[in-house]
Amino acid sequence: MKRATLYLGLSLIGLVVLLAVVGIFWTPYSPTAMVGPRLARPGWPHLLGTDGFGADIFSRIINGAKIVLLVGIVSVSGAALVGVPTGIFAGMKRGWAGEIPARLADILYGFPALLLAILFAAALGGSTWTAMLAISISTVPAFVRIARAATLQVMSQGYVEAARLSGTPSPSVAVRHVLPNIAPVLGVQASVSFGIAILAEAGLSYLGLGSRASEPTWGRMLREAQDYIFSEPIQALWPGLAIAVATMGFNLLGDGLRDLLDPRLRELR
Amino acid sequence: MSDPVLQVRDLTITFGRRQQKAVDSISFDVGADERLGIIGQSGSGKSVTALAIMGLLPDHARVTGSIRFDGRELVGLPEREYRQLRGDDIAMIFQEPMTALDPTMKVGRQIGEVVALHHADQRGGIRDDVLTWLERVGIVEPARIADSFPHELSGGQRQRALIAMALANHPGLVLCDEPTTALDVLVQRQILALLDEQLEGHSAIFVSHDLAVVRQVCRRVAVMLEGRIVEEGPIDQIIAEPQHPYTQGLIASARIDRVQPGERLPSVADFYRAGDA
Amino acid sequence: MSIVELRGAEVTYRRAGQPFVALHPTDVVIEPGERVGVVGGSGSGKTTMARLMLGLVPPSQGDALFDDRSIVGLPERQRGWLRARASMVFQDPNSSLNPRMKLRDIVGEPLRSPVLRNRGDVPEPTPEVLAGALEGVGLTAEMLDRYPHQLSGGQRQRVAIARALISDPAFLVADEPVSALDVSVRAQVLNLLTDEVNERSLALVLVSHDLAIVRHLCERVLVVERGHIVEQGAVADVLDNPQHPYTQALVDATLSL
Repeated sequence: MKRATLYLGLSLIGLVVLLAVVGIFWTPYSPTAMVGPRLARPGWPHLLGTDGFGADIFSRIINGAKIVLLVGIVSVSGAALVGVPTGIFAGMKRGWAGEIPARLADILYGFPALLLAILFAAALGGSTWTAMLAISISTVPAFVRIARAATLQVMSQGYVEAARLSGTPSPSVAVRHVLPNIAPVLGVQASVSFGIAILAEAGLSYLGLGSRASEPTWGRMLREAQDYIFSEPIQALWPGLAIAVATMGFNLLGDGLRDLLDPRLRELR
Repeated sequence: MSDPVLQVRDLTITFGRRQQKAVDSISFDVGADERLGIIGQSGSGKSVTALAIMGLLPDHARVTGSIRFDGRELVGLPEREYRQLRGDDIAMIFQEPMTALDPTMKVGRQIGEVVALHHADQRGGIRDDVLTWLERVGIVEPARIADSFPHELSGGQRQRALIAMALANHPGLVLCDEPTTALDVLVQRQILALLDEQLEGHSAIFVSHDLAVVRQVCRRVAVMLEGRIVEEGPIDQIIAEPQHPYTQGLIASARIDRVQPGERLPSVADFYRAGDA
Repeated sequence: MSIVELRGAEVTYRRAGQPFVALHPTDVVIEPGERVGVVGGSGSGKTTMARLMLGLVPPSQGDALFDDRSIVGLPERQRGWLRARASMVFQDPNSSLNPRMKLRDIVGEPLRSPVLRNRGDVPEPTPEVLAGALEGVGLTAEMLDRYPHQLSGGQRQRVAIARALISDPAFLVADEPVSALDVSVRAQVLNLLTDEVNERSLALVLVSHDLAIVRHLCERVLVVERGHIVEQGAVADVLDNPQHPYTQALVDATLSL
């Protein structure tokens, strides 16, 4: 079944969302307090054990899911809010006015998110919000590119010419014709970017450029587990697994959506 | 008369949960060296019939009845055996050659892959075979065209290349699905002449909505309407004395040149009313 | 006073880095209410000529006029008079109708255009006006809430015609209006087009490779080959007694029953 990827992606995301929703209201223990012996093995009452400070790992994972989704939603929607209109503009304008934003996006595309985050962390101090800002900015070019490519395709359709021939102004063409027809492609991009954002946030936290100790994200947990990588490797397993599940979920969703939307594949079904 | 190459009996094709019938219990034969035209408007089931014979229907289509090709039952044939059959014995020429050709591969290589299926032993001869085929389908500079990508060719050249690809295997049956609809009149005329010449010695089915086009290639025609064959027979006889009201309307509406300019054109709806145009 | 005029207009495209002349310097005059067929094979330049008349492609030299005013080099917002009086029916209704819009929005779009609203005599896109537009092309008012994919090919082209005519234009370009349709529905769409052109005394440019259709709808014909007008004149004269070999080839290639 071709839709297997889609459904598997949705189930993995569903799991993360479930954890996040639960985490808003309840965690077995406080995720930041010392509630048990240090470095307890998985068992009862600490399902996944405790970390080097004696905090409950399961509670920290649940709490992390909340932050991971927040980071994904804020950074991806922020990037889309800037990138999509820019991409549509670049795709609709002929000549240099359309070229400039497209080339700027290409340049930014080659600029590593990590470097950007280090810059921000240096200037603003490391926090979840600086991480989100850095991730958001580095996701913008992906949206510009995809929106522009899809817009170019829509602009060659007869209905856009028909709209121009009746004197419909460009902003109306963008809202009425371009946006609805490129929305599916943007959805795919958002899903893929979401996965990348989660991974990037984990990476930044791991390097100490993201969340502070008071906000236990999965990346930060991985960083702390590093100290015990030889004695208690299982400490690194849980946050690692969580990051993998969330990232894979969004990537599979993206792939599944892409398959669903590709007309060539759809005809064969 | 020898056994028909293709024998279709009570073929019924339904789609989806609502079991909508796209093809409703149709039967026809295609004899050796015979070319059958299937004519009908979009949604009549003509293309679905062609796809059923090719085994290219989507998974959610339900096929009942029988399609026998060279005595072999095709309904329910496993995909693996079908693939073999499509490579060797049944070929299809599509309406839009741009989508039927691989845009990333040079035309000569695409034809070469088909040729190679039959010439696995004589490695050196493939290129020559390809060029011979391109020449046979009326391409003036076969070497240059063989080294071109599909998008570098004109619509007519692409359709010629596709015809070469379809015929290179000497298939027992050739299915043509509106092969000239995307072309202008001048090129259409050339492609029809080419098909008429190259299909000599092949059994073929020619699917189209245009009776005038079908007549250039086929001598027998079946008229499809809403999934059924409503009329079948020698094409000249059907044009001269159409029996079914739909066929009468089809012929009247195609004769634009016999109507005085400014006068109303007769339409199918004047003869036969069902659904809407 | 002519409605459309090309004066030595030439169109050059870039194809694979090379300049390619799609239309060599051409002079054409179309009078109000006149119906002109533009015929030729694919790649002959016939569609380019029509697009030039609507300002969809710029000429590389020469001039294109509408209502005796040049449309060349003007930004879109200064072409109000052209947009308000000219429309087009495209070849393929699948691409010319936005798949994500309902018929009421598709047909009503020209009425929302600020350019047309400036004309002053354009009706509001009320449900009655939109229903009337659909009924005028042989469709029904309850189709207003349907999407294009819920219609047949012939119905879609009717919608495209309704959209082209709702603004009450004086000049209509029809680019192969029936060649994407089944033979069995062509006659109905052509009858509709004939009726509308007659009733509204539209000036019509019909781009087609099908001589029978041009003969049926037009008074005058231009035969275009490789960007040149090779023959022109009254439809009956040109098509019954072609002088140029290319016209002859087109006549010969036309199939009939």
